[in-house]
Parts: sequence; structure tokens; C-alpha cells
Amino acid sequence: MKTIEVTNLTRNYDGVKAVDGICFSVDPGEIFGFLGPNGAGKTTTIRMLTGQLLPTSGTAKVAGYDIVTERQKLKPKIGVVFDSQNLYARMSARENLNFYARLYRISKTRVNEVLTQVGLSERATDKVMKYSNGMKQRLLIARALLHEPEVLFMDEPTRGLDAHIARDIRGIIANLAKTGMTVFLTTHYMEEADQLSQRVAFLDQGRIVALDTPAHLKAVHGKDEKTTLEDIFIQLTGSELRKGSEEL
Amino acid sequence: MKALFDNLHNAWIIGSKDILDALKNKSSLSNIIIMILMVVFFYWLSDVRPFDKNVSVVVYDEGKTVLTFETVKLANGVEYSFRPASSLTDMEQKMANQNLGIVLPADFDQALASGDTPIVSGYIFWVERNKVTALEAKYSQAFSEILNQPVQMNIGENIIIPQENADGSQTNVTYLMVYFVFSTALSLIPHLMLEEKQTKTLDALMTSPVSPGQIVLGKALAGFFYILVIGGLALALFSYYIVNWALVLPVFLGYALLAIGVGLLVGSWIKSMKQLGVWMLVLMLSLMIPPLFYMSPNLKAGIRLVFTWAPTSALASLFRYSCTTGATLPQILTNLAVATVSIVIIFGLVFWKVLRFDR
Repeated sequence: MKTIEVTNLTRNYDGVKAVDGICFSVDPGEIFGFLGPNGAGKTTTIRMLTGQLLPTSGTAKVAGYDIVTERQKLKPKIGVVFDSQNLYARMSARENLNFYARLYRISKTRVNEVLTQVGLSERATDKVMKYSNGMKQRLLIARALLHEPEVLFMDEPTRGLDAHIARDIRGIIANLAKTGMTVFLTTHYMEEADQLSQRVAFLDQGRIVALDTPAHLKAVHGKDEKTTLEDIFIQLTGSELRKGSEEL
Repeated sequence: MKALFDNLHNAWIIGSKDILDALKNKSSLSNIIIMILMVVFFYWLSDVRPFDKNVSVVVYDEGKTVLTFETVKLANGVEYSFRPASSLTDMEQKMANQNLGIVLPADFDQALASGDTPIVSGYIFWVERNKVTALEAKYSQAFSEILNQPVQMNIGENIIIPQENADGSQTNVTYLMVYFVFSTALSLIPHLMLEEKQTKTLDALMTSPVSPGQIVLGKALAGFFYILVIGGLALALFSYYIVNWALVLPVFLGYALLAIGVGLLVGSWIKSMKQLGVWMLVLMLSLMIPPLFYMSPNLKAGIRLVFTWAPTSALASLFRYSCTTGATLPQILTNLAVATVSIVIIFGLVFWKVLRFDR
């Protein structure tokens, strides 16, 4: 059984198709890279798959639950690392996690575990407002992992982070995959997607323009061995963008 | 049963988080302190508190005594002024804003002439019911000084509960309750929703196991904390006005629910603090003006009708009934119905707005 199954998923905003009939599936334990330029529809897709946004049409199942009709059952099965650092700034890291642990009916031992997992144990009692961006990002991951979800959605988890911290975060994601967790990852960074993902989908103007393993995409679309995933991405999505510019 | 427990459990987790967060938030904390100081300020400085001030007396003279009272200033500086009444009922009605009613017995002149100590019946309002003995002594001494002869003032059970339509300081208390509760609601409660939206922590809550209903209930609990602290303090300070506790407690709950609903509705609708500032004045006026004027006889009939059906006016009426006597069951039920329907509609809108959040 697939962990994520998406069929003709569409979302319109004021008549404009932000996501336009996408279809894909993700296997259990897979890191699935969902890539696209700004405004391609990545976040809209995540919001629909996590039950925050209703699709205009189409269906999707995550962890076996329909994203529209079984939203409440779906929630305990998913963890979400949002693209914004949406934490309670006046509370400490531990208080933030304790709050969610109570909602998920999870013991405080688990809070300590995830704090250790993301390397925040020593600063757990500091207020979040005193945290650096990197620490906040680690805390977001800790919050998403707290209830040991079946599927982890990560919306640009390394955006705006310096190289060292981004590498740390990638290390955490890679370790998660080893535990068998399914990770749905959106990112701007092609190297990151290439390094982490078993398969990637390129999204452009709400449509999936390519979906395959990074190696196969490079083999099919690349000119030589030096071709990177970024080259393929620009090749496949850039032409669409240029066409759009000409029309404008 | 499990669903109910889950709802309350999750709502309590959200509510308690918000309460603790508010106590850590300098802005919320200073708003709470300001509101508390305002309640205390109005309690001490407004005329709703019975100060030792000049005494107004309504006199019903059963025997048409030869005495004519004029304004008298006593040695201690307290001034007594008098108004005549034609009957006991007239005296009670005219006492609306007066401290004391007295009935001069038919044999008052005779007792004065014979040098006996005349006995005068004193009537006081419900708010002073706990001071009967002290007031009897005080007024006996004052009237002895006024008449230059010993006079005995007996109050005993002559405690007047104001009629529901009577003017008096219970009107001020009623209005102050509306003011305190709704000022609290509009200055503190919208932030409970607005901040979650602005920091996008509402997104995280929406993907956690809580339902939109539990979020609304949790926020309502936190809002109730604010109302309980500030409105509860006001109710405690003005408790000596309360005649009917069985009515005032559900009415207070109604005040709280309506205020919380309005606060949450504002918080879920607006997008920024700037918008809140703009809407605050409009909302305050639309909530405060109807209960201030709905009983005014000078108001045009149409406007008075609209004001009377405003939910804040309905709650103000119910609070008045708690401080007075004579309200009929249909009057109580009508106002309860208006308040309840308003509360249900407002909470329905809040729930709908949270459910439709970003959809």
C-alpha cells in the first residue's frame, strides 16, 4: 500500500489553478522530493495533503486516510515542518513541546527524546524568542516528530539557514529515513533533493512536469555526466517560465 | 462521554496554555492590570459606592405636622435636604436616588410638644441593608440635632428593594458591568486568535489532533479567565446591589459568553493590530450605546426598539432585574432569549470562521 496516493488533485484560488490535476504516489519509508519554483504550488499541495486546505477537486489519501473525509483520523499520522517558524516565542522549547505532547497524549519522556534527537537538550528551557533560526528549525522538526508520525511533511526545512545548520538538518532528515518514516520534502535546493530523495517530482505552474529518481532524470534529460539535478530542473521548468514571460 | 472528555481535555490544554502565555506577555498583563485598576477606580470614585455624603431625605408626613423641613447643615458638616411625599408609595418611588425615607407618625406633633421622644420610621435601600443598626444611630442623632430634641429613628425591616423600572444607582452598576466586561473582551480576547494567526501557530494547531471546535472552546476558556478576573472583581465589589443571586450568576455567565464570543469573532476576522484599532471604537460604541440609552424616554420609539433588542441591552436588563424587584417572568425570558440567541449566533460565526481558516 502506498503511504501517499494523489489523484487529479486541484486547487483553485479565485479561478487561478494553484495546483492543477496532479497525480503521484509515495511509498512507505521513501523520501520524496517535491520541487518547484516559487508559486509552483508546493505549499498548497502540502496544505491539502495535511488537511489544512480543501482541494477544489481530486482525491488524496495519506497513511490510508482520505484528506477530506477522514481529516481527524489523518492528523495523528502526520507531522508537519512548516515553511514558517510557527512556535510560541514566549515559551521555552520544552514548554512548546510539552503543550503538543499533552494534545497528543504523549509522555514527557518522549519530549526529552526528541529534544536530544535534534540537539536542543541543553537549551530546552530557553525561551524560543532567544533562539537562532537554526535552533527554531530544529525545534520545528522536534515538534513534528513528537508523536512519531507515519509521514513527515517538510516544507522547505533548510530555507534561509546557513550552510552548517542546513547540513545538520539534512543529517536529521537522512536519519529519519533510516527509521522507516516517509518524508515528503519540498525544497528549492536541488543538491539537497538530489542527496536526500529517492524520487523527485518537478512542479511547475501547478503541474508535475517530471517525476522519477534523480539518477534516472539525469540519465534521460542530461547532456553529460556533469549534468546536475538543477540543470534538469531549469531545463524542465525554466522553459515553461520563459514561455510564461513571453506571453506576459 | 469520551468525546466530551476529549473536547474538554483539549480545550483545557489550549486554554491553560493561553492563560500562562498571557501572564508572560507584558502587553496582556498590563492590560489586565489597567482593567483591574479601572474597576477599583470606578468603585471608589463613582457614585455607585455609598459614600458618607450629603443626605437626601424623602418625607411622608402622616399627620400633616406643622414642621416644615428645610436644608439643614449639621455640626459635623453633613447637609440634610428634604423632599415631601404624598403617600408611602410615593415616598418609595421618590427615593430612587435618595438615601433615606422617613414617615412622620400622626402623633408626631403631640410627642414633640409633650417632650416625649418621638419615634420616626426610617426606610433605606437594599444596598444599605447591612448597616441598619449604624444608620438608626446615625439618623437618630442627626434628627435629634435637627429638631433640638431626642428623636428615635427605627428602620428595622424597612428595607426597600428598588423596582425594576426605577432609576437609581443600580442603573449605574448595570452599565458599569457592561462596560467592564466588554472593554475587557475587546482589549484582551481578540489577541488570543489574532496572535495564533499572525505567528501561524494556528496552522500547527490545525494539523494537531485538536478540532476547530476544541480550539474555539480553548480560546473561550482563556477568555473566560480574563472575564472572571475583571468582571468577577466588579461583581464582587458591587455585590451589595444584588437582590437575586439565582438570576445574577447565569446573567454574569451570559455577559461572559457574549463578550468572549465577540472578542473571538473580532480576533478571527481581523488580520492585524491596526485593523483591531480601527474596529475597536466602532464595536465599543455599538456594544455600549444601546444599554446606555435603551431606557431613555426621550429616545425615538424606533431607535429605542432597536436598542432594546441589542444583546448588551438584554443582558443589562437582566442584570437590572437581579438588582431590583418587580420584573415579570416574560420580561426575564424575553431578555434571556435575546441574549442566548445572540451568543449562539456569535459562537457559530467564530466556529465557522475557524473551520474556514485559509480555505
